[in-house]
Amino acid sequence: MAILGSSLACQVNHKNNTDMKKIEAAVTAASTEFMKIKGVQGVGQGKNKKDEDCIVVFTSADSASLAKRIPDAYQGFGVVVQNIGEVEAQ
Amino acid sequence: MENFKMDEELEALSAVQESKQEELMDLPNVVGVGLGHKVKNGKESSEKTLLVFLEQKVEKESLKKSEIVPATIDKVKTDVVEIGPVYAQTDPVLNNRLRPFPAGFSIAHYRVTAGTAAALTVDRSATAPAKYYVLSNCHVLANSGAASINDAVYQPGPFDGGTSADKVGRLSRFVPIVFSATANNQVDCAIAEIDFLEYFGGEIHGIGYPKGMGTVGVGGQLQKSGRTTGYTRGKVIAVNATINVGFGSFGVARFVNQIVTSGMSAGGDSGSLVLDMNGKAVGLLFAGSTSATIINPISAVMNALNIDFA
Repeated sequence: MAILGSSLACQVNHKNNTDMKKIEAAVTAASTEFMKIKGVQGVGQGKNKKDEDCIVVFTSADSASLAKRIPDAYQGFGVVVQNIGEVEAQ
Repeated sequence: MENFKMDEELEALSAVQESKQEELMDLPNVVGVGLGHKVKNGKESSEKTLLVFLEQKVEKESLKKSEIVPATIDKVKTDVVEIGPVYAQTDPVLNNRLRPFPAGFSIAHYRVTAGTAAALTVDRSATAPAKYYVLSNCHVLANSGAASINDAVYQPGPFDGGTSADKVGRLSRFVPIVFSATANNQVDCAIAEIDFLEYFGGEIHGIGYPKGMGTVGVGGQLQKSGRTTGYTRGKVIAVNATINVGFGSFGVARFVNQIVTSGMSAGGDSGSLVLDMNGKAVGLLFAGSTSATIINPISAVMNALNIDFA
């Protein structure tokens, strides 16, 4: 499949490009690392309660042992775990 | 009336309403009568009044004196409120056959259950006479890649009773999905050429025509109209998301650069165009869980298929 030039990240408004690149790089690295953990289905770029950029880790089950394996912060950004259940094509 | 909290003033209004309701409902344009607060200068006041609901306000000069809602009835003040036409809000019938069918309705490849038609599109380099395509997902129009070009597409989809008599078009192109947890899929999309333009209106049921493409940010509200859950809204939880999506017997496929929203869909909504609240398209819905919906960014979809909205 063709790799497409216009990624969504380019459309998101950020204070500056440096911030944008930092969170993007952190999300990319986090997706590689955390998606190795069984029960982690996805990783994305979100906002925490203080409206700061954060890493969102999507899990398929609400499991305490799974949550323990995911750190509270990663590469300087907060990590929020959200259980969304199994993701299927609809 | 025992379900409503009534004071003496409202009881008196209610008596007037009961005695005059039929007369009022016979007036042209009147669609309802009720009790409420008078609106003054656009603000609701505390003054209780008999509300007369109109489909449309018209100039008094165009009405006969007997057709005008009186300012007072039996010493009770009235207020007219324009509310437009009133319809029963039954469940949407987006899984029905309809010609022309709007976007948001059921559609699918002849061997697929049912998904949703996203939008009417044309080739980016289109020259007249243009070919018109319906946009949806690869797993809806191209059987997750197992289909052949020119395969029939039914509206409604086979699960909703669609048969060869309901053919509206044929598969034109799709972006194959790589079924691997290390793949970098960005889109689940396909287009089918519409046999006759009269078959597909392109207007999204309950939303209207897409007003170009918009951008999306975390926390933003989005809307869609789809075959299963009809019109729904969701809030963006994450962008730039990498996510593993199950495709039944085809296996799991990893997608990158996705939009994740709060749950705004269910099986059969795949292919719904997702728009911001200004009506600008932002994505193509393709997957979800019980509490989240996964959306391809629309720019990636349009680029991959080399199409524009018609």
